Amino acid sequence: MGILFTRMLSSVFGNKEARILVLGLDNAGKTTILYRLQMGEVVSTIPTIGFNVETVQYNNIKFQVWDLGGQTSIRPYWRCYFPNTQAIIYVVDSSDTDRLVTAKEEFHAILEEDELRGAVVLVYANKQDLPGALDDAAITESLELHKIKNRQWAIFKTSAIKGEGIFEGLDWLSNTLKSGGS
Amino acid sequence: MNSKKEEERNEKIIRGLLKLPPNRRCINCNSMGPQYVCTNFWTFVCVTCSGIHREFTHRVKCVSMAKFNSQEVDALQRGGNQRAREIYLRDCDPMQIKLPDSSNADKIREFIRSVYVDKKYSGGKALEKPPRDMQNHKKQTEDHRRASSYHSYSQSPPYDYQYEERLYGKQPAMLTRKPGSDKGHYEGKLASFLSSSLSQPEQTYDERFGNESCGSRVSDFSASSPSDRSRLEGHSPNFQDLHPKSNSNGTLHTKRNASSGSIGSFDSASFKSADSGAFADSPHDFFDEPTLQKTATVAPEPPIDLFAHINSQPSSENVGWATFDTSPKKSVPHMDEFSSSDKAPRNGTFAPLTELFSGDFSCPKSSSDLNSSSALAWNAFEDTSTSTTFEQSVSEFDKIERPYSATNNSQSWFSFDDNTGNAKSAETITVTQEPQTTSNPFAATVEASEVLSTKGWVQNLTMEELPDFTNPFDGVADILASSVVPLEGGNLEERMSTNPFEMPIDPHSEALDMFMDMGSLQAALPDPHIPDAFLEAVAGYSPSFAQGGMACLPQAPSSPFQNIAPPTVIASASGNPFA
Repeated sequence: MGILFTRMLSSVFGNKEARILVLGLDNAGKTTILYRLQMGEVVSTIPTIGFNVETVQYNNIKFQVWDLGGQTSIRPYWRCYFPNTQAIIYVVDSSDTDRLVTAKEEFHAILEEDELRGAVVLVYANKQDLPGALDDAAITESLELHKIKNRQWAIFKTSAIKGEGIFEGLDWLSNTLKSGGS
Repeated sequence: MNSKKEEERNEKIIRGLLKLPPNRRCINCNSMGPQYVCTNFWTFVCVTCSGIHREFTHRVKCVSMAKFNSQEVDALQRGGNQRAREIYLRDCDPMQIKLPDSSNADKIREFIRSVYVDKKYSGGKALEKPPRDMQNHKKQTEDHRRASSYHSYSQSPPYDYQYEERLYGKQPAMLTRKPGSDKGHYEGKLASFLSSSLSQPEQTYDERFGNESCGSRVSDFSASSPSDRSRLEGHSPNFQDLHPKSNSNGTLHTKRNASSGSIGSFDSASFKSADSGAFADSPHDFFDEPTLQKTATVAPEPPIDLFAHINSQPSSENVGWATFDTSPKKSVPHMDEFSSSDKAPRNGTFAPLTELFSGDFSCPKSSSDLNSSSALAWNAFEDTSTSTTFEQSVSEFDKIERPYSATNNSQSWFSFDDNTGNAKSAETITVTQEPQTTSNPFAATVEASEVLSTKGWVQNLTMEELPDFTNPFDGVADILASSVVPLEGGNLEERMSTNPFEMPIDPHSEALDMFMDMGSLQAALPDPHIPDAFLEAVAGYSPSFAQGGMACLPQAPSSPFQNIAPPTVIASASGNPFA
């Protein structure tokens, strides 16, 4: 009975579908995060050419998660996936301090996209398991997240390898999406 | 960021690097067509291995989907799979190492861990410098990988000749020069040359490498290479070979020149050393026809570089070309070049040439000559790798030698040059440049020819040369230089002949290294001594030559002749080969 009831409830209130893009520089950990979310385990990945897409059911939200390749020459194709996107998960390699500037530039370029005006932004300061990884505060600084206006955002320290922080971020996302739109 | 042009250029370079044999397969799993670059080690890896490299926090970049800046391209040029193997798989027997299959990720992971993380096979020797850098890099900043640290090390390039050449071609000679080890290598090579001809092939390779490293970059990115030499480039390989020798000669020359101050100053001492080395080399070369051919094929790239260097001397080159065109034969081309260049410039140009030699490398002259000669030599090789061609060239030499010798007599130092030139020209000229020789003939060489008739052409040469040398050391020096070049080239007959020319060129890239070696040797040999040395060298060589009366001999004689006393040598050489 209880189960039935919840299902009915979820069919009425929840079970929203959300289209999510996972973006970030190459080797930030996007694919690993995607499969961590989807399968709950670490998979052996190769540099993504094109994209990976999986659906992840979480907190009564059916996330359609698009993991797009982050290499330099294919970043321009990200925009092809922007329409109808409710949320961006921007993954940063916290240990790749050399390219934080590049990461910032790409990040802000995304935020200026018209088609992503309504998308919420979740930043993963990934690879916290690596020595020398910057923490979320440092990443916030590096990405100049405080410059974000008129948009909900959050940053989480994550380690896709260890499975830390990812679902916390997804919690925030699901809550935000639930509260944000119908 | 980089301009579009630069990006395109960089991509072109990387695409070119991908075509090098060692980079055609993933360094880890040997799968074809790696499309990723591991920027920690500057290796080309397949997509599977790239993913596994990332697990170790190694950076990878896709050739097609990432952009490489000039620094990275430079590092990649200096790196590549061949070099990485030398570093990380140093202790592994290439034949024994079993690369993991690309379908077995666990095995690859294990392999990468042991090779790049634990560095089980990197050994202590090669890694001394680079490894440290590497390790520091990795441990301290896994993500940072700059090639600079790797490249700091001076180790000589791998022996994957073509590949190396190409690589090095792109890369500056700096690598070869910088490392102190290079000098050691060269010296060792020189020593080996002198001592035994057996080691010549390897030595020549090394030399080539060095040369290649200098010029290879240019050649690879043909844009930079001078169009003037483009024709010769194909043949240029010979030059490369010669370069090493030339370097040694060049160094000697520089010293001698300083003392003598004359063009002819090339140094009898250098001659001696060069001659001896050349002789030893030449026999081997002759014998190893296949090796010669191989070298020829390999050599092309280096020549390009040389050409680039040489560009400055168009006039002499042109002359050589013309002659060469007429008669592209094996060693003949070299001779022709020399003769042509020497003759033409004798009045005006010659001094400058000598100056060049004495000064930096005399590269311009020699380089140009060499280029042309090399080109010719190459053609000749291609045309006639067999002994028959040699014989022809020898006969030609005989004809030519005489005239040249005459010229030599007129001018002592010139005579030497001429002699060398004659010997060379004799081969080549007979075919195409006979007119020139005739014009120049002074009849001085007659004696040489007589001597040649006897087996002891070498001895005769030495005898004759001695007197000449004492007075006309300059000329001898030139000859020696020419002869020396062959020694370096050692592998092939062509090289031998070309070597003399290369001598001047070599100085650019390897002269420094060679310099040291040669300088010490030559320093020990005063001008007067030189004759003795020559004689000795000749004597040592003579036996081989006499024995080598076969087709091989002709080639050898030609080169020795050039080096020693052109007239006599030529005659003898011709006599043997023809016989």
